[in-house]
Amino acid sequence: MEETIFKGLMIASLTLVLTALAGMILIMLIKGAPALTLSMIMETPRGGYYLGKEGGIANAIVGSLYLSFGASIIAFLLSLPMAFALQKDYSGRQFARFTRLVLDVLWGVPSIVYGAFGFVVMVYFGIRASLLGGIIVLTLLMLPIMVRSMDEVIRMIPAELKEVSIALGATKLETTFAVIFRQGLPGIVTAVLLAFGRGIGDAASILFTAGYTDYIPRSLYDPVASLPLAVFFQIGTPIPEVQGRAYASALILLFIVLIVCVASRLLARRFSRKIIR
Amino acid sequence: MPHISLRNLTITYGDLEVLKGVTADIPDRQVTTIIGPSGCGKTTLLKSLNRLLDLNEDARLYGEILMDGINTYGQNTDILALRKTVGFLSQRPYPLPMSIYDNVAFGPRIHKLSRYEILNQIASVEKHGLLAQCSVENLFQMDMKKKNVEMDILVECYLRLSGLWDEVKDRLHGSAAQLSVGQQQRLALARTLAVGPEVILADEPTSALDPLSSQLIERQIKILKNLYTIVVVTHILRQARRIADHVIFLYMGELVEDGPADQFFDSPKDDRTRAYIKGTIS
Amino acid sequence: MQWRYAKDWCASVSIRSSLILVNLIAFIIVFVLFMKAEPILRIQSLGHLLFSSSWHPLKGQFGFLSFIVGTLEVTAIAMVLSIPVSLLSAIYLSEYAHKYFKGLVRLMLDILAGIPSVIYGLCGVIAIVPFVHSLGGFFGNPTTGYSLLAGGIILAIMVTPVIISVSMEVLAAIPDEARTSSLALGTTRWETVRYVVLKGSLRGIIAAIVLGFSRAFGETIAVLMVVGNVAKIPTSLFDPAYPLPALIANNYGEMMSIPLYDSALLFAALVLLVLVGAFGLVANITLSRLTKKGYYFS
Repeated sequence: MEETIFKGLMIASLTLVLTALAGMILIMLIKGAPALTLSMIMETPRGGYYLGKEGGIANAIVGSLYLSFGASIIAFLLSLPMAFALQKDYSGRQFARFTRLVLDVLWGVPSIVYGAFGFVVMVYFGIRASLLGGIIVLTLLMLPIMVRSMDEVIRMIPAELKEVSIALGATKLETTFAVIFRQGLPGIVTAVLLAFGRGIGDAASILFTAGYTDYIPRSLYDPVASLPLAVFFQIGTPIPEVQGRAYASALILLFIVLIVCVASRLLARRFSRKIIR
Repeated sequence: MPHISLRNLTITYGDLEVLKGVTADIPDRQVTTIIGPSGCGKTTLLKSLNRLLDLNEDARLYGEILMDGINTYGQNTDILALRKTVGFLSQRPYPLPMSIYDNVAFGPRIHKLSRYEILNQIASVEKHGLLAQCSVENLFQMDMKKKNVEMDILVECYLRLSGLWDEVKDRLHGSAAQLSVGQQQRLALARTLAVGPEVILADEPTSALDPLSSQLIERQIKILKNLYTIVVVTHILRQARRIADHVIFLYMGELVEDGPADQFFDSPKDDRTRAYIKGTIS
Repeated sequence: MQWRYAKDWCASVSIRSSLILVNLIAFIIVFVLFMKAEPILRIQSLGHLLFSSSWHPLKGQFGFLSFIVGTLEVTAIAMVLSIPVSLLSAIYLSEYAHKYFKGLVRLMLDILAGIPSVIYGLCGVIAIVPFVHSLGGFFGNPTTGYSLLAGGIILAIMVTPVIISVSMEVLAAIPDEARTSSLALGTTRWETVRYVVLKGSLRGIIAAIVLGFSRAFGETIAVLMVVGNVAKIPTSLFDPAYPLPALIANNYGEMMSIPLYDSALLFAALVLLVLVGAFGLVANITLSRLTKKGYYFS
């Protein structure tokens, strides 16, 4: 009896959660799809993003891609050695444990704190809100996500596999890159995509540091538009055309995040064919 | 002259003494089996021979291991070269996360063996008639201008030498992870041989395998002893009887008895050896 | 040969030192925020900053109480809404659901967790705010809809996937032997879940909830978009509120023009960092002990 009631409640709860997901996607489709035209994707806004009725969101799409690709590449280059360094081949157990904890806490730090920190540092160095500033802050945001996700995967690799390579006369470095890296590749790809998805969707961290503009940036020191901020700023106007741009931006952003989520699973499966379990 | 000599070898993990002053010789180009109950230090002894033990930070080693008269734990030992000379076959096969071909080519590539060195290495294997079915002459007539042709030859040679070639020749570039465990172990053997070692250490190489695969590995070991010094750790007495030329019996970290296999099995000198062979202690 | 040793040595040293960089970054973040918040701490006591509600930056009065209360209330509402739903879902998925269904739901939860907060905010503006508006009308509480409740609902949806997936990990860490031996004693499935599985994983589930809480605590954009942003202590669910992250996000523009304003805002950032850090630390330590695995925010 009790079991039946609870089971009913459980199924109801799960349905509620899944309905929320379906509902959100549905709302985005209904609102965003009509606004999503070719010119929306291809053009930059005319007459100011906040007031101008003409033009599209190319500035935000390109800007977001610049920001998150830039940050992902830098974060990847930094986090790969860090993830290796957390393993016991390179660091003492206590220090690694401590650093893992630090990274876990950093992972949870609200992105607005990263934004405020980045802003202070940029003011100190005299950098204006720019592509460079946005990339730096997003890199900081992505770093703990990438390092810890890679670390979890690399940690699961059996020690015997390393031994095989060492026994053949490979150095630690050669073992790390020729064997550990390849064995962990599916997980590493997933980690990068996870961080990329987080980075491209984050608004609070780049609010102060990347700025917003109608144009596509020409240098690292230009301010840059981004999809999350395109939604955030443009939804606030009373002009329906501008709101349409916000909906379209949101739909594109959602689309990118969905693609990244699915792609990470498919790629991980593809890359895992050659690894042993 | 013995190939490897252990001189008063003592190994400790922290306070635990795993090996206690072992002195023994391992003869050249014979199969030496190290037997004894589990936990008696067999694997530790084996791993100290190519300094895989260095990976374990807690392990301390006293005494000497002489290889061709030179202490491998000396100041100037080139560890990478030592590991190239002393190959290691682990209990369970762990194929590297790459194709079958790349698994075999992995060692030669990291050691950056030149074409000359590779061909020389193959020629010395061929000299012993171990590649009869392989007709190396044909291989040597291959188009030498082709890139990496020597690596192709090497891969084929060693896969034949480990008795795997016929099963995998059509899928050399397929994943090694998709082979059966028995095939993987023979691939591991080929991978070990490919760097051109003089000594092969095998740590219970058949313990993860089915009887048929085990038989194949044993057969390969018997063939290979003409060319290599082979040290096999096993806890299966019958296996030791089948393949051993020379036996080292360890009990609780001590060397109890060592000597030629016939003498060891037929007229053991120590009571513990007798008891172990009879099966009263394990 | 020598060359390979040298390369290995160099790589080892640089790989090792990269870990120092990580810790350095964490230290610098805390240090910079502290240095910037320090001027305001020198002028006003910590107690006054945290427990006064008079917020008049132009007069130099920075009392954070209404923002702190706003943050706590919006988070509390989210947790009240989310905890039962999350836990029931997690139990169903880990104890009753079929493997394939579990995998499918996992994917959906990952997607839900990955949706950017600005989209949550947008959906809130489109759907939740009007809903709360009419709900307020129904209860005789005229409201714009931009309110504590709207913020709470959005946050609840955001943290639910986090709590569910962490709880599922915790439940999965209970060994199957515990379940089978309980079932073998003749208990029903539900009794096993209730007396064996849930009892054994209580600490882990609490840690999962703490993780969700700290995630909700620092959420900025989504809340900012629906919560109304009025610097007053809210008295009902339908009143607007003004959480700390929203305060920082909304005022960075004026930050430099009013004296001490930047210091006050960075103090707020520091408070967020310290609180979320402390929650995260506790939860992570608990979880890493329980699941024998590193743990992190999902």
